Amino acid sequence: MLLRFLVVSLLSFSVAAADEKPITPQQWLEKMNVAMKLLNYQGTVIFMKNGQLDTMKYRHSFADGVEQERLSSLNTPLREVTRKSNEVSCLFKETKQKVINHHPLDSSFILNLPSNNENLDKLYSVTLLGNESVAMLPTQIIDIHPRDQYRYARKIWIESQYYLPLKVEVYNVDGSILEQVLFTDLQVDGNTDLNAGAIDEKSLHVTHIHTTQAEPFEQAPFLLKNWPQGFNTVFFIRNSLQQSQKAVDHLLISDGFSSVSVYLEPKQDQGLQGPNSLGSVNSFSRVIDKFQITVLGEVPAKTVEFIASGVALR
Amino acid sequence: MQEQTNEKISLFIDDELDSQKALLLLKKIKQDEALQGVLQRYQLMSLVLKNEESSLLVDRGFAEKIQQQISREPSYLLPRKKPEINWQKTGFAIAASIVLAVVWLVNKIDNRANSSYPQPEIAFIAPQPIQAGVMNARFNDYLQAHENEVYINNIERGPAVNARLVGYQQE
Repeated sequence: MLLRFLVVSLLSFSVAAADEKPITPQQWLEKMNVAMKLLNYQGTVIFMKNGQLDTMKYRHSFADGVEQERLSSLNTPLREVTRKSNEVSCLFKETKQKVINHHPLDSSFILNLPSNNENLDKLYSVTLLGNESVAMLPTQIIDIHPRDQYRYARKIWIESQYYLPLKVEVYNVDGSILEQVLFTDLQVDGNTDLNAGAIDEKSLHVTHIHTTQAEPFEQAPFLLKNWPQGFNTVFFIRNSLQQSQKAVDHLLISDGFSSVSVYLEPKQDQGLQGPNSLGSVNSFSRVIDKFQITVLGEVPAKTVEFIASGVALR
Repeated sequence: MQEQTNEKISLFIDDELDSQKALLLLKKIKQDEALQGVLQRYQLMSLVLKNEESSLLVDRGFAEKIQQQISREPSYLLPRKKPEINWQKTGFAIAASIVLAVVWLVNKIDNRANSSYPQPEIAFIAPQPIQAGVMNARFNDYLQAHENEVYINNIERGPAVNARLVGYQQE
């Protein structure tokens, strides 16, 4: 409670200070990063991704040092996605199936952001782009435009009082909108009871997806010769994918906004080759000797192909 | 005025003009050379139409003159035209094929529009030697391991959503 008070006070003080000196775009992003993690808030969110529209109730809380998010779909198929730090569970209410994924990265359902903005200027041009109202709340638009062709452009509509993102748009390299996330209403510091409407766990069929402990990338059987600027290793794990249950080496790299996975596994049958895409997510597969390499991420097709072409066995 | 006179001449030739008017017309023609010419031409036309002694009007050397003119014409060595009948047949065959294709497409579109089942929106699927199902299953696996978005977007829902995947083998 005290921490929440401090965060709100800090953000309010920043607003007061803003009267004297305009807040830079980077400061807007930093304040948004803090607010997204530490504030309690809830609202209705529309996700428009992959040509699909989903309206969900969103709740976020921060208590005892643990960040929690919960998304409840309002329309069929009914499902509830909960994230407690890096554990993500998805409950399919109609089939009473629950999948719990112990993911090594605790990324937000709404928006991924760089943990620090030190090198942001080298990768993106970040500018203020005027003011608009979203969900009847005043917002500041931040334009995040990549300086190369390896990543997508974005715009973020940041609410002016609490610095929460109310709208996010991701743009394809041709300028067309790839994804939209939009709050239609928002309540801050309200009663965000994440256990409301919870179903008895005993009646559920629960599946756990465990990942092994992350290892240094130097121990991976492959290396990357082509790194797009600004992408750094987030983790390297030896995982088993849900359906195949076969061991897969998984490297995740990220520039803060976008992440890319590199998978290496024994080749099956004739193997996968070439590009594949789903909305903003692109992948590129190739076969090296007896191994299947697939590079996948929410980056342009050119980026995954560039990275895939530089994968080599150690 | 001229037309009325010509009409009277025509009636006179056909013996349909009364005697008084015919007398006045003849006096007028006698004084006017142009009308005399009209009278001669109308008489000639009347004879031809009635087929009375029409052969006499044609010069007997007419056919020979035509023959001589033709023989004086130069010869041109031009490429022979392909028989038109072949193109017509080909054209009909192509047109029939197009009509059949259009009918087939219209039926297909109509069936899709009338179907009560949701049709997945497929952006582009080129022929691929590998099985699409296998590829989509792997793609889903990779997506799930990559991010949490599979749960938000409900990509696991079923093949209808998976069908949106766009995949093709690289050349």
